[in-house]
Amino acid sequence: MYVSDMMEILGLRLEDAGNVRFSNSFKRSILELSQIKLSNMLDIGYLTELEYLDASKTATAKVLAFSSLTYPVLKGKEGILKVKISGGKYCTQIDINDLKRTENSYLEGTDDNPLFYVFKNTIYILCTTTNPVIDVYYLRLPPPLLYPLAYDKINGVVTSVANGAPEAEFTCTIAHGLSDGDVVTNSGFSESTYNATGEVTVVSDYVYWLGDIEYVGTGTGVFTGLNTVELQASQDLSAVDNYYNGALFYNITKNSYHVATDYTAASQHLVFYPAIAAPADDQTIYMLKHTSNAVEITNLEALEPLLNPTLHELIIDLAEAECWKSGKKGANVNRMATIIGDVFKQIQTLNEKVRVE
Amino acid sequence: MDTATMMNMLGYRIGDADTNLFTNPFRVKSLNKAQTQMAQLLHPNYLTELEVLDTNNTLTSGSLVITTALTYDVLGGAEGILAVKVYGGKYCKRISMQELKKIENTYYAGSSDNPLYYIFQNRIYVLPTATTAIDIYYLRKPTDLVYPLNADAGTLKIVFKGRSADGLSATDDLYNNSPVFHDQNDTYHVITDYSGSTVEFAVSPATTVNFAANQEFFFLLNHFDTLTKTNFNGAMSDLNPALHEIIVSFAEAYCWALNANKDRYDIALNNAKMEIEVLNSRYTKAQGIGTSEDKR
Repeated sequence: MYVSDMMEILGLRLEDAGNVRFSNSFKRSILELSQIKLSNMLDIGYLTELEYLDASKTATAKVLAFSSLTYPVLKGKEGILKVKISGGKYCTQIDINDLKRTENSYLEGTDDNPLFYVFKNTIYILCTTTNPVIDVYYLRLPPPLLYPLAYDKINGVVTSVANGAPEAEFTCTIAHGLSDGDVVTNSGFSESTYNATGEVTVVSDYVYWLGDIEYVGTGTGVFTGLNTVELQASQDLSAVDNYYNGALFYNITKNSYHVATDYTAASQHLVFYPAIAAPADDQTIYMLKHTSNAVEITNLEALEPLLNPTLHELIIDLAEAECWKSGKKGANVNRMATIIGDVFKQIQTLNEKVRVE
Repeated sequence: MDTATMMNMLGYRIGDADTNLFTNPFRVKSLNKAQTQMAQLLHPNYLTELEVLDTNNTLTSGSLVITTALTYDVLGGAEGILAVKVYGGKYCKRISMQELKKIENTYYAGSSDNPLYYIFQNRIYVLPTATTAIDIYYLRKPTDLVYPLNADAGTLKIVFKGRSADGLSATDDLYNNSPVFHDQNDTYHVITDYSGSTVEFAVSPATTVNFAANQEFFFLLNHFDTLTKTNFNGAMSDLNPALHEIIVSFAEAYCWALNANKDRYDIALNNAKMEIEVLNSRYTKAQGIGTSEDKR
């Protein structure tokens, strides 16, 4: 079920189809919270979509922190399902209370009988090799219910520089696709003055100025978007210039935060501060927050929760219960209690019928 | 869920989004109390974030005071001490007060080959008493949440100052790359440089309105980012993100208790407890090694 559908069903259940009482942003965040809550309570047998294998991780000095894994771990220690020496044997999990036993040479960890325990969000390997390479099987936290927007870098070739009296006019043989306000870096010019970063002023489809760089002679080079990227088409983006200005973004590819300062709807160019390091094609970002526009609900009609579809209804149930808690007068305690009771019963039934323990 | 989101969630649950009934300091206090209570009720397998190893703790006459020797406050009293190991030596076996009589027998007495420990009156006693130092594995109390933080004027539009009194770190660059929200300017920024000595944050993009004195800001963090949460000044609970909502439920119950709304109090508390029961019932014991004592 798409997240947008879940939000609409939730709206109907809450008798709030028009989003008068609960905004779409609120519903989205409650659904996101509910999927985490559900995953936490369900037996791992139902969470195969959240299982992840991080292979060939080097445990330096036999230690690997959770932060070295690709995704955050669900359920803490319970979320580490298995650890294996890469190309070797599976490690037996021991509890911290079993550490005493490993003093017995027949039970100590070796490459032939590797052991592991989890402590302080860290996996400790007991084996002979000093820096073992391990495979970690674990449950990841469900990804957020935010659409990962794809973007491309912007770049082009400047084939000549002309005197725009006094600004230098950088001319491309192919339309540069830039917009006013884009921030790009010129490089590769023999005139070092031209190798700079600045804001673009578009003169024509083929010609641009960069900041107030003045003409000092001709040359050739390239331009690359430093603070500016181009969002890919068909992602339900706003047609209003500056709509995303001031919004907070998270770059999934780079694991970095950025704030948008300029948006050109026609070209779908977004200017970010601080700049994205070495932007490339097909990288992705989440739109997180904006003080007045609900940017986080962008393109949710194309996004499904990662959890098994048979669990989506339970996510809505939990979200509905959460919404009924809202407020002092507006809360509907009876409906909340009924739903939450049903959800716990369903979870209990599911957990009890797990076949593989 | 970062602290700001928890505060918002608590606000709408208690029907006090405008903070008329319960002030921010009260709510933060409730959340802090709630996360400690929840951690206390949960099985330690869900609390790996709170585990700490303090090494090479010096013993005086074979004992040390838990409250002064350890880096953090211990969660759950003696139950929070998970294991003790002689520094550079063997793991100690824990004995109860009832077993002290037993060690009068020389075969059971503590020795360097068979070190023992027990806990009494907030002290760890190690046998043999000649032991000089120990490593202690324990559960600490969750770091207190802080919200919001105070901000003062910095360098006009690109730098603002925090206040050391809010617990901000003295380590340079610790908060770099973290997003913040500046309350009065209503703007998001990313920290590009942090000075621990002056407690100043350089941010990007620059704000359009100069930063001024007596303003507020807060960190924004998400569970999917890999920014270190260590010493992040309570911007996000230390506990696994899947547990954050339970913390809010406990805090909600505290608020309803003060508001004399018994029904809501009961419901909030029961919901939190039900979830904890489900989690504790799903705990799986580590496979372990060797034969267990009851199978001999």
